[in-house]
Amino acid sequence: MTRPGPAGVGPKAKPSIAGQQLERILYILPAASRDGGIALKRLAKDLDVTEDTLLNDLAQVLSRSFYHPADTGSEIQVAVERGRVSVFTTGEFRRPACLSLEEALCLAIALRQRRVEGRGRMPFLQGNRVGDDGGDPGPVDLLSRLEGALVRPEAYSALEKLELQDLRPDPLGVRETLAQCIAARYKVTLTYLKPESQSSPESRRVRPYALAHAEGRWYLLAHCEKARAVRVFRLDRVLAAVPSHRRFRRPRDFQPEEHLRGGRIYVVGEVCHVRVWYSPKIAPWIVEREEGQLDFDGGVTVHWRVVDPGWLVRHVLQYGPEAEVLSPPEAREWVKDTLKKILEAEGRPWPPPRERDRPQGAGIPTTGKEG
Amino acid sequence: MPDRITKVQRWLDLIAYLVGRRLPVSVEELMERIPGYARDWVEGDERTRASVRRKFERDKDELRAFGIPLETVRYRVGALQEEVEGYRIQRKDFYLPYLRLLGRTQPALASVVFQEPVQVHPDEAFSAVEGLRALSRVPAFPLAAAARSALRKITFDLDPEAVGQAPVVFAVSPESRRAAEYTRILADAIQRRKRAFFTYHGIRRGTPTSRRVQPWGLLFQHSHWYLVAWDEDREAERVFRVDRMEGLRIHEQEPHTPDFPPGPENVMARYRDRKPWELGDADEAVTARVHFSFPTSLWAERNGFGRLVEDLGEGGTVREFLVRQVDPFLRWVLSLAGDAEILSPTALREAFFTMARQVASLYPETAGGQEHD
Repeated sequence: MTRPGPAGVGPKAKPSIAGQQLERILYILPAASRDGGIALKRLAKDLDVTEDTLLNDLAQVLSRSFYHPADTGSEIQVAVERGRVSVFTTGEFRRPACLSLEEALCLAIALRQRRVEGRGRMPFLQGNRVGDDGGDPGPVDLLSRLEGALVRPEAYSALEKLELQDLRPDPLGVRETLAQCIAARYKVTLTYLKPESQSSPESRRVRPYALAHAEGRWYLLAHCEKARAVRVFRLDRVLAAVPSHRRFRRPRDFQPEEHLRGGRIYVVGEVCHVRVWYSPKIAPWIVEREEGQLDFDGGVTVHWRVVDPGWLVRHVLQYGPEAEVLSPPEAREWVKDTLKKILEAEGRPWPPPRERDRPQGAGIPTTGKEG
Repeated sequence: MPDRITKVQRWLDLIAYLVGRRLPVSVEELMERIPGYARDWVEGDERTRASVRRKFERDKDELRAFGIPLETVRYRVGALQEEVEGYRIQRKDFYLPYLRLLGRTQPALASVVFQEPVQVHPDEAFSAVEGLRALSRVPAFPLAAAARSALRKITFDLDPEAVGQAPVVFAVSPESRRAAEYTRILADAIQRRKRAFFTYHGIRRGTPTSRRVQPWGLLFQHSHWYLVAWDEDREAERVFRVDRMEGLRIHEQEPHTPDFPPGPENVMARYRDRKPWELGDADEAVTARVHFSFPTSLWAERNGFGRLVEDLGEGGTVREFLVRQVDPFLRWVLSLAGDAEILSPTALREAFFTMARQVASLYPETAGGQEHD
């Protein structure tokens, strides 16, 4: 007996039109064969196609009856009425097809991202469960059981070649805890370390609304009871998240996407308009990010709307001598004050002698030896 | 009777016929019984029949590529126990197992269940559903469509309302829009081990260069997609940011034959949980000690930066780092705005203050704080 081979595990070039249609039909038939059928609109949304496309798909199924001899089996009747599709079948296609290799690979990736390793422990709101190693047992059970039932072994070879670092579990399990609290609508008490704060972390009780990912970082969008408004919390500054069992209602008009602009988290506050110059060494990188244009000297000047002075200082300093705040004067003072603190703490002379030429630094952050 | 039976109709007929059979089916029977083949098979000449047979072979290969578990089976028939070849699709392999959510009232199982139901704890279901949902939203994720369809199938039995939903949004940067087309092509090339060619706009060089690589893996880090590959011309492992590629094409001759042997085992693990300064040659590594003042020390501990070596009291800590790339490390410490101080080695500490002075020289003391042009 020959079992079907992997036939290329992992992503392929885009499936053919016929292949895409077959995939849709293999989902439509079981979905519409349940009691009451399914709304065409809902199906179109689920499958991310137009209703016309669905009707075309259904026509493929319907017209089989014209050429099917009566004894071939698998009689399928399709009815579309008042925006709902119903399918009656005495034979096959009343269940979805099993996961394809690509789908199985996605499930394996999704499950492994949820595992909290080492000291991480995810408090389950439906009841605490701890694995033998003290870690979170849920995903381990999931890995062995759901994967065993749904994931084909061939999918695992592709797992090693896709590394989603930004989705790896939070070392403390904070993100996973917040996700559960968001789903269960439970208030949470955060131990939060404010940027620029020299004092101890503060406690904030919040109603978690959504998680957001931008510029390589995770954020929590939540209603802060202290501020009485929606606030954005950087997860790397959340030292702990303790769920309460007090529920809340999320406003229906809350749209997490409104807190993202131009690939970044959008923070509300008093704005300072700041100009920052980036040297020719890094300007191409800045330009591709900010979609700007190079200056005549090869550098680039970007206009920022800054709410948090601390953010500006950290942003500029991460480029070393390749970035300089041009204006306003108070923004330059923010950076200078920080540098003074660094140099004077070590008894280094200030002000340093002004160098004639703008210095050329060694380079920019990379993720390894860049090509 | 329609003039033409479409490919999709033929596929549906073939699947329905095989799934509905307990025993393997010979190819002759398929040719005679599946309308999409029968018309030409029964009435056609030898040449036509050969063409129909080839059509079946193509259908079989395409369905298998989609993941339809269409098996070729050898079995014995007749009094003489003649061995013949046939085909089958077993229901237990074709259909999704029924997922039963523990602790929830669910409708009675329909008569369409062909395997033991899989019992799923609610938080396990949550992990699967939310994990897939997040995955489907990762910008330029090459398997986003598969993640969405996996989510549809998983939630076919599991009511999403019962499982719970935790909205996750991903910021889509201009770069990730550019990467979207290429990540899928590269993911396919990685799986088939096909050589890739592209023009690369590396930041350091400034001028674009032509590259010929063996793609090994894809990495999503800091909201960017990177290709880890063996650069054949430079004979070295390299990391390329996908949105800096142009004119990407894959070697498509002999599409089912790999162009190169498998890459090193677990190559992507080298990039897991690694900071920019940790990447590079082990021989060139420097061990640095950094003092973090309170409360930044809490942040460093929370995020696992370096290794704790000393608790200094009053909340400050000393942490140790293995630094393979000095420049990104110095700039990272500088961006902590005075809340971290390099203690050792001396050379690294001096390099840090040199950098700080270089930056400070851009902000000389002036009378009255003037704007800089």
